[in-house]
Amino acid sequence: MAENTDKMVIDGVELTGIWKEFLPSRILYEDVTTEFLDEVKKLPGGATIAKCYQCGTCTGGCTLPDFVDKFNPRRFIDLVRRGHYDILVNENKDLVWKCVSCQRCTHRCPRGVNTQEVVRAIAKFLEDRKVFGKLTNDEAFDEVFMGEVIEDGRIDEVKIVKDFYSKTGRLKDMMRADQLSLGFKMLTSGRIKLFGGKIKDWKKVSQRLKEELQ
Amino acid sequence: MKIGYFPGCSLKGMARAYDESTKIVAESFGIDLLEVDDFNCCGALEAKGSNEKLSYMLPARVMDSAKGRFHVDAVVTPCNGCYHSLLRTNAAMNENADAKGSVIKFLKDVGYGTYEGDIDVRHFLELFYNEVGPEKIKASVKKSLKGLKVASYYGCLYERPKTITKTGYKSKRDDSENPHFQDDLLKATGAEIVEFQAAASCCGGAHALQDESLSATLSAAILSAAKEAGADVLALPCPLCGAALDIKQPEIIKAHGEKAKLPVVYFTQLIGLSIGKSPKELKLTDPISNPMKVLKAKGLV
Repeated sequence: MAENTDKMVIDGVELTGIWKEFLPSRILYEDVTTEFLDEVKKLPGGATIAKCYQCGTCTGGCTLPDFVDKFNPRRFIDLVRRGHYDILVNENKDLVWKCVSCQRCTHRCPRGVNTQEVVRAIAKFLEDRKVFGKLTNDEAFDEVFMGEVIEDGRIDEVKIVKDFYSKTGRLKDMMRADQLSLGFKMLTSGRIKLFGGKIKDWKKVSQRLKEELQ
Repeated sequence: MKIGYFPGCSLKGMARAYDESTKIVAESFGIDLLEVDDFNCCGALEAKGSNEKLSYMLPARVMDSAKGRFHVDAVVTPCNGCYHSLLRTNAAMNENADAKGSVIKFLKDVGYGTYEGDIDVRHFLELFYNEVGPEKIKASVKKSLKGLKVASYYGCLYERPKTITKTGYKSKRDDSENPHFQDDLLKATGAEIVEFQAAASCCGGAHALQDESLSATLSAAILSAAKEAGADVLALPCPLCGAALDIKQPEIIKAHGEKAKLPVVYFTQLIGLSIGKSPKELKLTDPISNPMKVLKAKGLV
């Protein structure tokens, strides 16, 4: 936007003094911070949130609005930035975590906002404030997944599913007839290995990764 | 050119058909893959949502092993998820000195300590397109797939986001908004590629367990769009999309009906079939969605 704002003439009409009002800026510069914005910036993936200039490209191309009513990444970012915590919690807490990480938003963002990771960081911001009243499925899955990666180095698909269902109190879902017959087919065709491959010297790596988490 | 092969966890488990068919087509066309057999999990989405530094360390260890042991020029993976994790680590190591410093320190502690974000990361589909390409496939076809209608599906992370794939800067990358490498390769087998609008849509696989009903809805949208377009099978280059669209298909059909019923195969299986490899070697009986039935009906197996 032009620096010299004293005089502006468009189509022969002088707009001095009022032009700023009909072209209100939606840009919040990077030095505009709030308590929540700073907090999200520090979470994994949240660093680029302040670059957003609210153009809406992310939301225009987003996978979810066709399937999830009112899913709006642009709005999630705006609410954090303006510090509208109550609206974020009351109207959006059950939406934010639904992002499926398709990356169209990040891919198309003209400002280099890592939108998918920022949306995940906003969900984590809400998780950290315990607004869900219970362990969310995302938190449970992340914990189970990372626990297994750090311990064994690789993911065993069956163990992950079992531990996730167990952690979220749904083990009985895994025992449904269709799930069992699927498991049987996988096992007999050799796609489930009961004694998965171990990585040589992983213990040392595992120890070092645990130190990193301290 | 020396190429390290990083299969990832899925290809050593439920997606073994992709692992084996990838190796078969690579070998058939003279691509030498040095398997990084002490690989670890790339951390997938879960690491990057949990701990930034760990999300770079896990992929970096794989790259360090490829470089330290095999002195490779590039690492190739057939998995969209692993591809994303490796590229993301490379981008961080080249653009963020702090991240680079802590990753190098980690690698010196636990590995070869050779990796500095300096090895090219490639997707097997992109590599196969550029190093082999449709013309060589055409010349090697023993059993044309003529009469087979294929929906060519790419998934999300194959060429997205450009911030890490560097699409437009790296000339060998596919078109990220309208990918066509897989279409071109499969056309060369004689198959017909159907017009299909959901080729780069999301299958919801990232939330296949955490948000099952939404994930099934997204998958159903892709399967039914492909079926409506007249496809006999859906071909893809990602084991995570494979899990969502194939292994989960019985549940998807239960919720969304027969319109979502469609056999799913890996693109490497179809290429292998066209150059005369057997369904058994290519593990065409693995998919839950049963591609063998339609392949038999078309006289292709």
